[in-house]
Amino acid sequence: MITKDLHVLNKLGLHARAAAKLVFIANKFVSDITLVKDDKQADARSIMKILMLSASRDSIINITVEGNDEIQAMNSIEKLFQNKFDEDL
Amino acid sequence: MNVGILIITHSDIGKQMLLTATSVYGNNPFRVELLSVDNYDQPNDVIQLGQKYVNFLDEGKGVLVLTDIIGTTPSNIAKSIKHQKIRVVAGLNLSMILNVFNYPKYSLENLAEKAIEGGIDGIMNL
Repeated sequence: MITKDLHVLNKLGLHARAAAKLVFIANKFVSDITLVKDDKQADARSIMKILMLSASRDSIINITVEGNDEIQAMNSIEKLFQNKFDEDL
Repeated sequence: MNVGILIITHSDIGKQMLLTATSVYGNNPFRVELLSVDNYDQPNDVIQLGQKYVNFLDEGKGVLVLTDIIGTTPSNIAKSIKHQKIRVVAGLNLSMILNVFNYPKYSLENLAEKAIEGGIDGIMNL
């Protein structure tokens, strides 16, 4: 199991298109991927649960990945956050 | 092969929601048809059209019909369509469509559940 705190760096926060990208990445792996913000928890494969975290810019999301490909999954997710979900904003 | 989706709404609400959901995901994973119902429409004509759409949309996994407000003409039309594998869910909102698009490989029954769950999840005090 790997766990990391990731910063939401993009201007629009974890909005709909960003959440859809996260779901797309999560679906490439078999590991369980869970996001936690404050007292709310979300499965990274559910767009609505991610949106319900209501994570704006500068939020910190705790990510936990557990499974056979957890290292690759965490690397991909970390890259997505660092690249601001491929948004220029 | 995925479940087919038929969206029946007042005016073009459904079209705008479909366009928005497609834009969020960058693509649309389902075969989708839209039926907009306006004051001047004859319900029986729309039912016939809906019937044709449902037959066209079913590639073997059935058809999920999403409609806006229960008890209104679009919802009554949706309920009047006869098909072997059909589920009708009312209360359409954008979070419902976003959640349905999240699960393109789900069966008709499970997708209908996800539609309801997504629709309800999107309603809360902020």
